[in-house]
Formats: sequence, structure tokens, C-alpha cells
Amino acid sequence: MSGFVHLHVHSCFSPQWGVRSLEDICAAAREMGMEYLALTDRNGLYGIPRFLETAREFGLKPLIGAEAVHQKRRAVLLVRNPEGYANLCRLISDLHCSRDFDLAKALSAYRRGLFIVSDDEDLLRPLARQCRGNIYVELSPGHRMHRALALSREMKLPPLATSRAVLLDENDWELHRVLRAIALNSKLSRLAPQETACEGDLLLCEKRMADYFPHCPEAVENSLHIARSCQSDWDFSQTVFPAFRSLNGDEAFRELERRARQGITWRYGKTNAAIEKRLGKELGIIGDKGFAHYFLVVEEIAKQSPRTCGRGSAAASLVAYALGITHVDPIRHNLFFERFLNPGRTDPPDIDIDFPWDERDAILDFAFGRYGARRAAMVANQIGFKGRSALREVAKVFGIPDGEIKKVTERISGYWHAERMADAVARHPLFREEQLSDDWQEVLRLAQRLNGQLRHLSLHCGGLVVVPDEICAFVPVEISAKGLPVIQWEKDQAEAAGLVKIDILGNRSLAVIRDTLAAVEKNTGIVIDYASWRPLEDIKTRRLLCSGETMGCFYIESPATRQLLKRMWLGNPRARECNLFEHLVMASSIIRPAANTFIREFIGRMRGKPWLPLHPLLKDVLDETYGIAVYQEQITRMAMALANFSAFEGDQLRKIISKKHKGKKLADFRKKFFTGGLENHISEKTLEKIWDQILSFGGYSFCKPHSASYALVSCKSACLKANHPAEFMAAVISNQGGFYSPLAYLSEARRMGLRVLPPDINESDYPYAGKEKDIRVGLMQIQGLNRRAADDLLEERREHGPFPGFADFLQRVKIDAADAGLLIKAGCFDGLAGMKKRPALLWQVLAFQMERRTCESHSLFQKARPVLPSPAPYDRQTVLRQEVETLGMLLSCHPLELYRDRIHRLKPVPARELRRWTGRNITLIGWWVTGKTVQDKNGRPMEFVSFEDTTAIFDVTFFPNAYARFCRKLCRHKPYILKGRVEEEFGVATLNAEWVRFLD
Amino acid sequence: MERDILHLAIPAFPIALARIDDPALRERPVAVAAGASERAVIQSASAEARAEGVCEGLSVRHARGLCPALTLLPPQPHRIHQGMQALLKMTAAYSPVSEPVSGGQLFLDLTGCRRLLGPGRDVAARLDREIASGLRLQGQVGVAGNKLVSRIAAGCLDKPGVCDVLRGAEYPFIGPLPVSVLPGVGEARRQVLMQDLNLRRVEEIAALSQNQLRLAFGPFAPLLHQRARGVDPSPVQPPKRTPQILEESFLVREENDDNLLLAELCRLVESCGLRLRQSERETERLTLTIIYTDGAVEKRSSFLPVPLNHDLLLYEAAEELFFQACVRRVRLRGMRLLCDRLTLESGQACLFPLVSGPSPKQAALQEVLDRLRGRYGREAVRWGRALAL
Repeated sequence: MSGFVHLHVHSCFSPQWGVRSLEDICAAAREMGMEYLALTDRNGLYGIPRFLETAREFGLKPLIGAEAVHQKRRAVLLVRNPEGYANLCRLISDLHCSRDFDLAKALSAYRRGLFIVSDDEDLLRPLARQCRGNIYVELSPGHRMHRALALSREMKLPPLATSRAVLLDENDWELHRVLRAIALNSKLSRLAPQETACEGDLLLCEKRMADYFPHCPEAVENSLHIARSCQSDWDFSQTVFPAFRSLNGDEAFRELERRARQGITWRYGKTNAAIEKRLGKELGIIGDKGFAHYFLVVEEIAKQSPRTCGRGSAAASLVAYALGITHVDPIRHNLFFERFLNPGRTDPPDIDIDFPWDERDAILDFAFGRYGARRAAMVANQIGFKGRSALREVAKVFGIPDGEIKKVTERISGYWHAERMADAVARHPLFREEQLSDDWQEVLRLAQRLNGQLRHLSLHCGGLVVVPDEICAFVPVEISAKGLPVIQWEKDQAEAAGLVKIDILGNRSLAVIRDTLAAVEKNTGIVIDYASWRPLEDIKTRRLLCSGETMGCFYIESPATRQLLKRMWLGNPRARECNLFEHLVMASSIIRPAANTFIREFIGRMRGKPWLPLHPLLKDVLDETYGIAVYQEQITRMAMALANFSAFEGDQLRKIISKKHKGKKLADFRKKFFTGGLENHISEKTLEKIWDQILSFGGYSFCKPHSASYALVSCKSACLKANHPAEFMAAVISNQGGFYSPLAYLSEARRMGLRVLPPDINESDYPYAGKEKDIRVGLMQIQGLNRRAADDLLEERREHGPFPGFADFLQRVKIDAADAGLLIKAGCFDGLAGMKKRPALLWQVLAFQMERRTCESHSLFQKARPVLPSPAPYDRQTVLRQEVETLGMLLSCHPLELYRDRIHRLKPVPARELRRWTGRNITLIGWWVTGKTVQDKNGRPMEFVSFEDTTAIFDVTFFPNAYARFCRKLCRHKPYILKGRVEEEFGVATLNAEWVRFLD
Repeated sequence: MERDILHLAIPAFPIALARIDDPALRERPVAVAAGASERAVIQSASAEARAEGVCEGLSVRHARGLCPALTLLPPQPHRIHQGMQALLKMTAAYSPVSEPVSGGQLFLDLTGCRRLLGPGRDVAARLDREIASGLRLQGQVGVAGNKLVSRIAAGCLDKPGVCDVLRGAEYPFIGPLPVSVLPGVGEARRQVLMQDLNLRRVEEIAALSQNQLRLAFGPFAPLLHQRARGVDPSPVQPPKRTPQILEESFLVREENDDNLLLAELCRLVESCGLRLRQSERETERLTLTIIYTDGAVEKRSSFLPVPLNHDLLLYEAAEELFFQACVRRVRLRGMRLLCDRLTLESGQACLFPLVSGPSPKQAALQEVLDRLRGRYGREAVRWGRALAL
């Protein structure tokens, strides 16, 4: 056992300071024979839950601490006991949130339960005057140690030896300096010594530390003394629930039961034995685990909007369904409650609720209004470096100009990991025949070490944590750029520390549904009740879903999902036997990165291909999904059925598979899976096959309740698209953020037989508007138009009626000349004055502007308005140019129409006839719609691209060879000539690209 | 007297110079942009790039969208300076009254030289041939009765040659031309106003009254109206010369390491200081220009408390300017140090010691150093800080 303990250690969780991961540090400490190790990251406990876990894995006793650095003052604070932990959290929270924070005062206020270590005389003197206990003077090699020792002796405060460890070896110094240069927006040669750690701030072994202190051995001994006095058996596993109003546990449970029973009546009319059994079981578990408060809090938040989508595993809960948190009947759809809650589960599950995206902020305001910033805070995202950002930042430190950096980084996928970037750059076709300079090799070398270092926090997209009393006692809180309090942990660490998260997420499709329903009611008087809506009872909706024509529909609009739906249903002889909703749920789940081979098999079996279960024991588990694992919880159930896993262990396996850092734990579970399987006399070959299916859930995958929740929203979207296409497509474009560009949606609208009308000063609203067979472009599409100007003119029109002429418009609306010009060029006044008058209207705007300026200046000599010229009308080219300039796209015709003559000469196959050419080589003309780069099973990049011509949207596959040849050509907003072979699978034709050129 | 004004223009001058250095750039779309970020503005575009729609004033992002094969070059101010000096040297043989306008363009006033040199168009043809053979540059030359029309005439040519506009025919010549030929109607004005207002030809502008034009162009209207009628009374003005000492350095390897850059700065100061002392002058103002790799240029000036020519004191001021100017992390390509507002060296000591020049010891050391350099060469002895260690 070591007689020295490192009590001042920085990991990569010290923002823009620390270099090494917790694993590296713990491994090094273990190798040195340390028993204890403290983590004292700068101004935060950013990595404490993970540190506790990692230290224990390495057999170390973890000590919690932090280095508080504020202005020129600094002190290391080590936690002695739970009170000290709460005080440290409060102190750090104040440091981040309080404008007039003073470290000396804060230490004096929060020192109970903490050891204070510093070499700052101005800090130590007042603290020592207050109380001399638990204060140490920090002696660190390379940091004016003799002065610190003199201070210790003068003040009669005990010394403590630390190495202020930031680095594990000499090579880390270079990386630390790069990090500092990035943080300070500086360059290496301009870093001041006080802005970086010292070169000798290494995690030193006991002997080397002792060598530095021959004159003061007690400084080394004190480290062990402090370590032994600090709590090291931290247990963060206890779940921290929010408290609903001021109810105690029993009262909350009774209230929950009452509301759940009310909800059962609302949902089902009357109860039955199955419902009662399920309700009893769920309430039992909820009661045992003390979850009642949590359900009540979530219900209260969910009630703030009439249209929500409770999703995630919570959708398997009948209680959540009865409370109106989720909307899929878990009994009818056989949803596995244990995925959400089971008696063995120790970690807190969370409930995710989607709200319309533009209502989310109001919901958060409500939550903070109800619980206050003292009890509630948002979960953080811990932002580090990814491959591209690491490369960009290091290159900037090296002074490489932006343009040159972009030339390299624009070819780097956002998914490339920093540590594998050099290898990826060496192999990727986009870098073929290109020798990166020595400077770039250096940048790459350093950038690939920037992996996991914390840069800053950002807000998690929706995670809200509510605690019963004071959140700052559980975790330090900072203030986000948006002004919301945010905890220092991301969702995994928050969960590891027992904080229950409520995910309040923005969903654009819910807003699409809301806006469509409102438009339908306004246009037709039809009112659709959201809660009792059964979209799949509508035949048109069913037909639309089976045809895969689902552009615009929530979650099933991507090219891959649309193709999957087509393959599942087009010409399927078993179509009548298959339950559409159940299959839609399966389709939503099976689309995941590593499941391509299983998707093909799944479609085959659905269409009647005979199959046998992989093992008879899996019959119950996988029969509903044709013997193929589709849902996350099937991993749990497969492991339980085959390898004797408990529900808890199965759930752990599921979690590890779906996480990014699997490592050793996965190997342990694999061993257990195979051992358990062999014990049940299952062959190794079968187990291998099943394990492959389990691994296909890596990356991302969903549980059935989640997919069912999403599928319900998909069905509602599809119902609106099938029955009210104009209103629906208008809402899709208006709410933005869909999978496709507005141009692609407008093309789809045209293919659906809708008419797209240009913006009009008397007809357009701010968003797009749909009615009957028309979609009217909204003023929102006019790029650069001031929102206030648009609101003013709409307000004026609402109050005093339509504008009879342009002069009237100018008189009634106080609008800037630039905005008026945009409206004219976008064609808003074509209905009033005609397109030919556009240039004349612009002259009128100029004259009107001059008159107004003269009036406003109260000039003595009013200038007479000159006779305005009568310019010739614009030619067609100018009109089209103005369309692109003001609307960002061609509206009056498809962009390919501009190349009509050239297209005619090429005699391409129209996309809608693609299937007729199966197996043959053809030429197609396409306008780029969307693309997705993936890797084949050998890791080679390839791309799926959707194009459209004037007849249909079609999918083109660039297999690795074609991709390597043409990847540099694939860019947006270009007309393409595509040559290749048409392939058909399950009735769906795609083009395998072999040759590509631009049409212009 | 009838004026004869010649305008010589080398189209896309920076690119023409770059093509002399690198023939592989010929017949390819090339543009020059300062600061190669996506928001940087195109400064010059080759004819091939123009054919694709790229023109000066566009952002790099827009230009790349129009012409994906576009090769972007950073500006090379020193090459442009060299090229311009060569052009001026060549034209000086024809007329002493010349006015360099911008990169690769100059006016030459040949008024009154007909009997000596022949008609303007003959002079233009001779000059054009000389430039082609001597500098390997292809020029366009316009000859007219004023600067405006001679410039437009040179710009009208779609290939190298001479365009002579008859005196009195200025307006009929420019009337049918597009409005963009008029100075002051850049890409932005042309796009936003001319295209929107559907005014496409110069004669359409000339046909409007000043009051009408004022609606769209404000105070620029009278000048625009005058120009649209082909009138330009401005004279050819040779650049004014002021005594100054300029030293510039382009680094062997682009660098952002302050230690190396300050060493280079010290070498510039040494050279300036030596020249000042040799001419027995002192400078009142220092101007440091730094040129980044991406073409961006930063300039900072400072007035010295007293006129100076001592190396160390000049260096102190220059170093301060360096830290004011070099605020980006991007590497530097070069630096330029200008000493102007020169005064004669004063032998009298300053009354106020707080703002005095070098101490007697410093002055003596400087004198010895200068003597050593005079005897053994400039490299014989250097300040330590000029050595990048």
C-alpha cells in the first residue's frame, strides 16, 4: 500500500484543461500501488458518477473533490462526508451562477464537511482566523513550493504534498497546451505560463513524490491522513424522485391510484379482469419503488398540451396510458411492462414526452414556474471533440487558414471518431491521390488524441430533473446560454447518480398534426377529436401506408422507411393476414444501422417465406416478429429464455448493447450468455446466430412501446395526408425541419395533384396554407423578409381588409423599402398589378420612400415627386432569378424544366416507369433530393441518394466502387444525368449508379 | 486642346501574373479571394471563371456553387506591386503623366504628343506589343477623349487589342453598352437596382432625369447621369511621392509562431533603422502591415513620442504594433514595415528626458554596430532577437 495519495488530480472532465480519461488515470494510479485516488476537476464534478464506477473497477477507493478556480484565487476542496458533498455542490453552483461570487467568502460559508487545500495566502488567512481545522497548505513541485512551505510554517498550518496531476506522461504536455490554446482562442507561442499547467504536473509515484519532499515528509504523510478521513464508500444508487406538491409517499400513491382508475374509465369505459390484473401489478411495483410522485409530476406536465406523444419504455405502462401520458393501449398491443419497470431494476427509468416543438419552451416555463430553479434543472450534454471538430480546432491553433481547413474537414463525416481519423483519412476515397502535408499530419496526430476531453456544457434537448428539495445539494448547477439552470452531468451520469429525468422534447410532427387539424376545421368544419381518433379505421390511410407514399408523415418518411413499407406491402400475398399497425410498429423498429440482412429476411418471411424459430425456446419471444429480433426488449427476453438471465440481467445486457462504450462488460455478458445457453443444451452455432442478432441492436434501436407510440403518430399523419393533403403538406412545410427541403415537399404535393400557388399579398398568411386542392406559399418562404414587416401587413389586412392596389398597400403599411422590394420580386403583387408591372412597382416604392423621408425630416422645401419612368417588364430569366433569390427555390416550374431541350435530346427514362426497366441499363435525369452515406460490411463507404425528376422520386444506390469514383460529384442543387442498372427487390425498383454527370 | 487619354488594362491582373509563375493555371477557372473562408469576397476572376458566372464581389461560397472547378488563389500583393512597377516603367517611355489605378490598370495622358509619338491608337498598339513581348502579359488598351470612356473602351474588348473612340462620339459609343461598364455601378448596384429596375443599358440611364435617378441612387445620381452621357472632366493624376522607407519580408515558410515572427520583424527594423541612419533621418511614424496566409491584410500605425532611428527603440514600437495587428491565429505570409514622416536627424538632445531617444550607451553601441556592418557586411553582427532560436 502506498503512503502517498494523489489528492489533486485533473481528468478530461476538467473543461479545456484535463487531458487523460478516468480509465487511464485510474489504471496509472493502480499501477503505482495507490489505494485511494481523488478526482479534483476544475470548477465542477463533471465526471464524479463515472469516476466512482471506474475507480472501483480498478480497485481504488474514490475520493470526491474539485479545484475551485475563480479570478486569481484557487483552492482544492476534498469532500469528507455527505454534508461536505452538498456544500461543494453549492459552492460550485454559486461559482457558476452568482455574479458577485467571492471564493474566500464562499469557502467560509460552505467549508463544513470539506478539506480546504491551497497555497493562496489571501485565501488561507481569513479561513484560518475563522477556524484552523481541515485547512492545508498545498506544496507542489514546480509551483513555488518553498514559498508555500514558508507560508505553512508561518501560519502553522499543516502542509500537503500534491503534484497537481494533469499529465500522465511527457507527451500529454503538448496536448494540454493545444487544449489551452483552443480554449483561449490563442496559439501555442502566445500561451502565458499561468494559462497552462506546468510540464511537471504529472501523476507521480510515491517515491518520486517523496524525493521532492525530503525536507518536509509530513506533507506526504498528510495526504494519507486526509484520504483516510474522507468518505470513499459513496453510494449514488438511491433514486431521487421529485415530490408532487406537498404530498407524502402514501398520499401520493393514493392520489395516483385514484387518477389511474379515473383514467381507466376514460380510456376503456369499463374495466375488466385483464385490466385490473395489469393495473394491480403496475401499481404494486410503482408503490414499492416509490414512483407515485414521479408519475403525478409527469402527468401534470403532460396535461399542459392536448397533443403529446408519451414514448419510450413508459408507453408499456397501463398507468401512464390511463393518466394520458402515453396514447397506445399497452394491453391491446401486448407491450412488455417489465421493459419499463421491474422489481429488480435499480436504475430509474425515465418517461419521454414529445410536445409540439413550438410549445416546448412554454412547457419548460411551466415546469420551472411550478418547481422553481431551486428544485429543477435541465440535464446537460457534455460537449467534447468529435473527429471533425478536433481536426478543425487543432488546425486553427496551428494557424492553418479556414479555407484550407474546410477543404479537409468537409470531406470528413461527422461520425468519424477522433481516434480513428488518421486511418479513415488514409483510406477514404475522398482523400485518394492526395498526400497531406507534414503540417496536416501533425494536426491529425494531435487531433486523434482529442477524444473525450470536455469542452463545455450544452442543454440536453429535453431532459428535466426535479428533486424534492434543493438540486444544488445533489449536483452542481450552471446557467445555460438560454438562461436555464443546467446540471453538470449528462443523462447517463445523472441516471447513475439516481436523478430521475423527465424528457420534454419538441416534436415537429405534433405541430404539423395540430396545424392540419386546425386548418381542416377552419376550411371544412370537420372536427377530429385527437384522443378518440382511430386513423387506421380509414381505408385511404391504410392504402397510403401500404403504398409507402409517406413523404411528410412522421417517422416513416425517410427513403429507407418508404422503401421498406413498399417492400412489405406491394404485391404481398399475405397482406390481408398482416395487422397493419403491428407491422408498422415493426417497420419503425427494424430500420436500424446494422440490421440490413435481417430486414431482407423479415420482409421475405412476412411475404410468406417459410421459416423456423432459431430455437424452440424463442418461440414465444420472437413469433410475433417472424422469428427475428426487432424490439430492444426482445434482447432481454431472449437472454432470459435461452441463457437463464434474470429480468434485471437481461435488461443490463440490453443497455450495454445499445450504449457506445461496451468494452469488457459486453464480453462478460457474452460469456454468460453462451454458458447459460450451453447449459440449456443449445448448440454453439445457434447461440452464435442469436448473438449476431443481439449485436445488430448496437447504435440505436427501440423498444416496442416506443415504436408503437411513434407508429400511432405516423398513422395520424398518414390519415391527414390521405384525407386532407393540401392542409397537411402546407403544415409540413410550415413547421420546417422535415426530412426534405420545401422544394421536395412541393414536388410531392404536385405529384399528389395539388396546385402550388405563389405568395400573394391578399391571400398568403405567414405559414403555408392548404385548402382543397391548393397550397398557397406563405410569406415565411420569402427569404430576408423582416418578420415584423410580415406581421404588420397581416395585421393591417386582418383589421381593414384586403389591399385593393399597390398604392393602397404603401399607404396602409409602414414597410421598409427593402421588404417591399422583396414582396414585389416574390410576386406578391402579381395578383393586383400583374407580373409585367413589377419594375414599375419598385420605382413606386423608391418614390414613396423618398416622400416619407422628406416628411419625416420636416424639410422646409418639399421636393416634388418626379414623373416615374415606365420600365419594360422583366424577361423570363429575370423572373425566374427573382424567384430563386426571394423564395430560395423555383416555384413556377420544376428546376429540371429549365433543361427541357437538353433532357429531350438525351431521351431518359421517366422515373415513374423505373420498374419496367428492371435488369436493364438506363439513363435517368434527376434533381438531388436527399442522401445518406453509410458503410458496407467491409467498412467501405457507399451512399443512398434520392433524386426526383418531373414524374417521380427515385432511389439510387452508389455502391462502394461507384461511390469512390463519383463521391466528389455528389452535391446538392444540381441536375444529374445518371446511368446504371435497374434492380428490383420485393417489387421496388432502384437504380445502381454506374456513371454520373451534371446536366448543366 | 483635344485630349488623348489612354487606358491600359491587364484583365484579371493577379491571375495573369500567377499564370506567368504557374502555367498550369492557364485556361482554367481561377479566382483570387482574400481570406479563403467561405464568406471571403472574390477580388479577381479569370475569363474562364467569369464564363461560369463568377465575378468580383461574390462570396467564395457563392462562387464555388457557380463553378465547382474554381481554383482559388490567395492575393499576392508583392507580385502585384512588382508587376505594376514593371508596367509603369514601360509606359514612362511614352508619357510622364501616368496614373496607376489598381492592379494592372493605368491611365496615360498623351495629350499634345501626337506630333512626337503619332496618333493615340498607334501608341496604344506599340505599347500593347511591348507588354506582350517584354512582360508576357496580354493587355487591352482604350484610347478616348477622357478617362471614363478610354477605360470603358479598354473594357469592351473581349480579347487583347486596342479600341480607339472618336472624339465627340463618346455618348453614342457607350449608350448601347450594359450599365455595368459605368464606374460606380458594381455588382451589387447592378444586381439590386439595375436588374430590379430593369435598366440594362447606359442609354436607358442617360434617358432618365437626375431627379428620377436620385430616387434610386441618392447623391450618386448626378455623377451617374454625367457618366452615362460619357462626360468625365477629371485629369490624369500621377501618384504623389512622399519620402518614406519601406522594408518588407515574405517568410520562407508561412508561420504563426510569435518567436519566429518577431525575429523577422526585428530584421525588418534593423534594415529600416540602418537606412534611416544612413540617410541621416528619423521617423515619426511606424506602420506595420501583416499579410496572412489567406490573403487578409492587417495594418497598424503609431506615432513615435520622438523621431527615432535607433534599432532597439524602433523595435519596441514595432513589437507593440505587431501585437495589435496580429490578433488572428492564422499563419503570416509576410510583413511590411513603413517608416514615414521622416525628419532630419537632430544633434540636439531633448529637453525632456522622459521622452528622450536612446541613451548615450545605446547610441554608442548602435554606432559601433553600424560601423562593423559597414565594414563586414550587414550579416556580420545582428541583434539576438533577430535570430529565431
